[in-house]
This record gives sequence, C-alpha cells and structure tokens, in this order.
Amino acid sequence: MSAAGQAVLSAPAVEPRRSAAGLWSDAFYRLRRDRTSIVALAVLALIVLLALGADALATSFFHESFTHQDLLESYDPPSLAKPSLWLGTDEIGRSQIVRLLYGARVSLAVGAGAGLIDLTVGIAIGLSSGYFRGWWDDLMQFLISTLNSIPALFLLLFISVLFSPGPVTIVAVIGFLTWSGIALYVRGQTFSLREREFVTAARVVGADDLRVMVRHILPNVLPLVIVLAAIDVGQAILIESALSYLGLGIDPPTPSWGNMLQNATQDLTLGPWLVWGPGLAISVTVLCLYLAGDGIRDALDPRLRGTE
Amino acid sequence: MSRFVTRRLLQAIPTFFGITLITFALFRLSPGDPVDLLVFGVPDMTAAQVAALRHAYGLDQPVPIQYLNWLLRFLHGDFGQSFLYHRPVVEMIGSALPNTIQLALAALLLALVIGVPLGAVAARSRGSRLDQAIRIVAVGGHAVPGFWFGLMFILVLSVQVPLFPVSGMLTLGASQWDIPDRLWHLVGPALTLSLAGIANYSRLMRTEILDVIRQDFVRTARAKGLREQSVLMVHALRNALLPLITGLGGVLAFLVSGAVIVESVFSWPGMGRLAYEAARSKDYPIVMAVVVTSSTMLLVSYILRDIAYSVADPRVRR
Repeated sequence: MSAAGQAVLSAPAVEPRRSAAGLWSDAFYRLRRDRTSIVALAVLALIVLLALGADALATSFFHESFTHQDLLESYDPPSLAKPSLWLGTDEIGRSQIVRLLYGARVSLAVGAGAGLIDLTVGIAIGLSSGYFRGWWDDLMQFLISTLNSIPALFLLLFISVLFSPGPVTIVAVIGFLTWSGIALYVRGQTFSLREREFVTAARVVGADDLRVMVRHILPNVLPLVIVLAAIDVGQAILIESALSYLGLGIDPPTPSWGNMLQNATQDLTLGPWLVWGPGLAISVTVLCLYLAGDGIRDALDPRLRGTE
Repeated sequence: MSRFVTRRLLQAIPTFFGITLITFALFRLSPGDPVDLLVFGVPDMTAAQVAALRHAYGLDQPVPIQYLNWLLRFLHGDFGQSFLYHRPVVEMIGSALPNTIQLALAALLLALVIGVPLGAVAARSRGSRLDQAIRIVAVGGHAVPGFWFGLMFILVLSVQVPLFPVSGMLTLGASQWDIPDRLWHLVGPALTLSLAGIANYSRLMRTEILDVIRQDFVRTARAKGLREQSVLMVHALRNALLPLITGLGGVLAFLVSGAVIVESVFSWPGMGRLAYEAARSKDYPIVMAVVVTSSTMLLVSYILRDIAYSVADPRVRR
C-alpha cells in the first residue's frame, strides 16, 4: 500500500489512463496502434457479415439462389453484365459469387465448431493435468506426444475411410485433433499458478479443486487461450477445405470453399477463373485470423511479441 | 552420447505402441466387421463358411489378442494384402516411400534456402515496411492452402504458360536416371510443400537473430569496429542457426502431413497419394499401413533431430 503510494509520488503519472486500466482495455490501447491487426479484424468482421447475410444478398442483390443452374450459362467468364456474373459461372451454370457466399457459411461454421471443441477439450485436459499432475498428467502427455507423431491428414484419411463421416462428425474430429497446443499452454501456466498465494488463499477458505481450477486459475489463462483458439480456427478451416478438396469432407451440392475447388479442377482450361475465388477466400480468411490472433496476443502480453 | 541416444530410443517405444494402438482401436471401433467386406460380393455363403473365414483371419479371438497378432505381423513386415490390387501392401509402400522422402527432402532444402535468408533480412530491417511485408508473407505461408497454391502453380505455370509439367515424376518414356527431367518435375510439388516450412523458418530465424543480437559477444564484435553487415551475417547468424534444428520438428510434421495434399494435386506417386487413392476405394490395409509407417517415419525423424541437436549443443545431453 505504502510502496504503491510512493511510486505514484516519486514518478508523476505520465500515462495515467494506461496505468489505471485493466487487462483488456490495456490490450485494446496497444492493439489500436497495430494497423495490421485492425485491418485483419475489419476484414474478418466483413466476411462474417457477408456469410450471415448470404440469403438476403442472394435474393435481393444477386437475384439468384446458390442452387440455380442453367446449362446454357455454363462456364460463363466473369463479367460486369449483372452482379451474379461478377465471378463467372461454374460447369453447370451456377453463379460462382453466390456459391462463394454460401461457402463462407460452411467454412466459418466448421472453423467455429471445431474451435469450440478444441477450446473445451484443451482447457479441460490442460487444467486437470497441470493441477492434479501425477499419473493423469503422464497419461495425457503420452496421448499428446502420440497424437503429434501421427501426421494429421493421414489420420483424417483413415478416419474418413472407416466412418464415412458427415459434416458434424468432421467438425468433431478436426476439433479433437487440434487441442494439444491449448492443452500444453494451459498445463504449463497451471503448473506455476497453482503454487501462487491466491490459490492457497482460495483453498484455505474452503474452495474445492474444481472451484479453484475454474474460478481462480482459468481466468488467468483464458485471454491468451482464446487467441490460441482463434489460430486453431484458421487451422480447422484449412483442414476442412483440404478434406473437401480431396472429396472426403463436405459433400456437394452444399457449397464449401474446398469442394468448389474440387469442382474447378474438372477442367482448368474451360474455367480457370473458378480456381481463384475459393482459394483467395480461404487464404484471406485464415490470414486475417492468424494476423489478428498474433496482434491480440502481442497486445495482451507484449513480452511475447515475436515469439512463436 | 550413446547413453543419450539409447534413452531417446527407449522413449520412442511407448509412442510407437501408442500409434499402433490408436490405429488398431479406430479400425476395430468402426462400424461393420472386416469379414462383412470380404463376404459382401458373395451372398450365398453359409454361416459356417463365414465362421470359418472369421477363424482364418483370427477375428474370433479376443480383441487384445487380435491387436497383438496384428502388431507382430506388422513388426515382421507383413502389412497384409491390398483389397483392390491383391498385392502385398508392403511392396506398394516400398515403392512409394522413396518418392515421398525425395519430395520431402527437396522441400526441406527449399524451406532452408528461402526461409533463413528471409528471416535474416527481416531481423536486419526490423520495424521497417520490409519487415512487416516479410511477416505477412510468413503468416501467408501458413494461411494459403497448399492444394490451392499447387492448383495455381499448375494453372499459371503449366496450363496458361506451359513452363512446368502438370503432374508425375518423369516425362513418359524418359529414363529413370534422367536427373534434369526429375528436377523439372520436382519444382512445383517441392515449392508447394515447402510453403509452411519457409514460413516457419523465416519467423524462427528472425526471433533468434533478434535474441542473439542482444548478447555480449555481439556487442564486443560491434565494439571492435566490425561493420553491421558482418556482425549480423557472421557473428549473429551462426549462433542463431542452432534453433533451426529445433524448428525441424514442426517443419517435418508439415512435410509428412502435407504430402497427402501435394502428391494428390501433382499426381506424385508417393505415400500421400497412395493413402488418398486407397481411402477413396476403402482399401483399409493400405491406409492402415500408411498411417503407421508415416507416423513411424515422423517418429524416427524426431529422434534424428534430437540426436543432431545433442551433437550441436552438448548441454542437452544430461
């Protein structure tokens, strides 16, 4: 108490607003000056809005549904004649731009769903193995090192052969394959946090293990974990697109950016424009997720800047 | 040294069993009985015949025994028969594996040759526009889907401007030892596969150099009047190279996993393509064998990495 008072007296507040701010407002202050992250966040917000408004846009602006086909209009090159032709048409005359909009829904939904599972499993395993240690921790470490030794896509191929999964299963499997990063981070933090005074204090007043983990340790790791999850969401979108491209993910006619690229390869010479859109859409979405994730992480904890 | 190697090898044993256990468990958990697949085309089989078949394949035994039998056969190099081609799986893997290793090594080389200088340049011009541009390129290397980059490569550099071959390892009719032809076919797939590695290495290099720059011997080098160029490129870079070995872990995982995508796009006859085609035709024995062999490959390369690291930095052997 007196030490803090002296510090204020001897060093007149240069930035009083920042010294008084909490974690998030402090981070926001730093983030505002990181132009790359702001742009990335803005683009992400735009993509989410476009995906949410796909129905409205398709009916009132493009005047075409994503299932509407017209063989007379197949492989129409991109033109400015009408909005639905901006990105051309595919092999059965469906509007590429409208399908791209609906594909955004699939990709974002898969990413969000897998990210949520990844977050839940990662936190649960990380917290419990860091807190209880002992045989449970050993078992989980063994599981993580084993899973990390199996190349993810080979395992996904295997699972897709065995179970012929539908969209929901695919989301679950991707989520269950990506949690190890979060689990390792949470575990490491829990190791040191559980020795801190506030945890001892909580135990002294009678908090049980679950309460200590969820109410006292978790809030300290959550901000960075959410950022890690954002990066995993990007990874999930990439995995889904790769699987769908290979014909083992989301099945047509539901448009997904991955299976649209699969379609595009049917004839590269007749419709070369079909290759650009979905690929750029995936790249931009994932790039923005990574850049924003990086930026928010640096803003939350500047000491981590530039580390992997 | 030999103690370190022995310990590292011993550590790998449980992981290897873990890999085989997960593979086998997934296989047994899947709906349907393997015998049903064999019986599928023969509807007039009697129940006794099906039972005999089940016995012949050891499927009437308890699951743990089945696992051990499968593992024993696997360790003896008997990976079973392909459902589709009726050829021993081990033969098919034997012909695909060298192609995948060749592709992975080429991609690793590209990742080093492009990634390390990029990271060094970014560190030298830290905070500048160039540094920011390299950061975006590096993050982009992770964000751009490999199969799309491969497709674009084919579309632009093989179809629209026919500079490179569309697919395969060799021109039809070319000799096995036609090295220039091989390299020419290697450019597209190797570059596509190396994207994530380039991204990894350039970021790793940048961080490491910036870390090394703050150390005393760099200050000494500056103090004795060396030019900034030689401080960075000779003194700092050499010391920052060590973590390249550590970074190998992540890069190797990308290389092996990415093989599925790149080999499918460029019709490269390796493990990834073998697994993909087998997956499409539900050829279980092949997919199972590829999962275990590619994981073992990854495991072995992790061990080699750790040994290389212990040679480069003896402090890690304890």
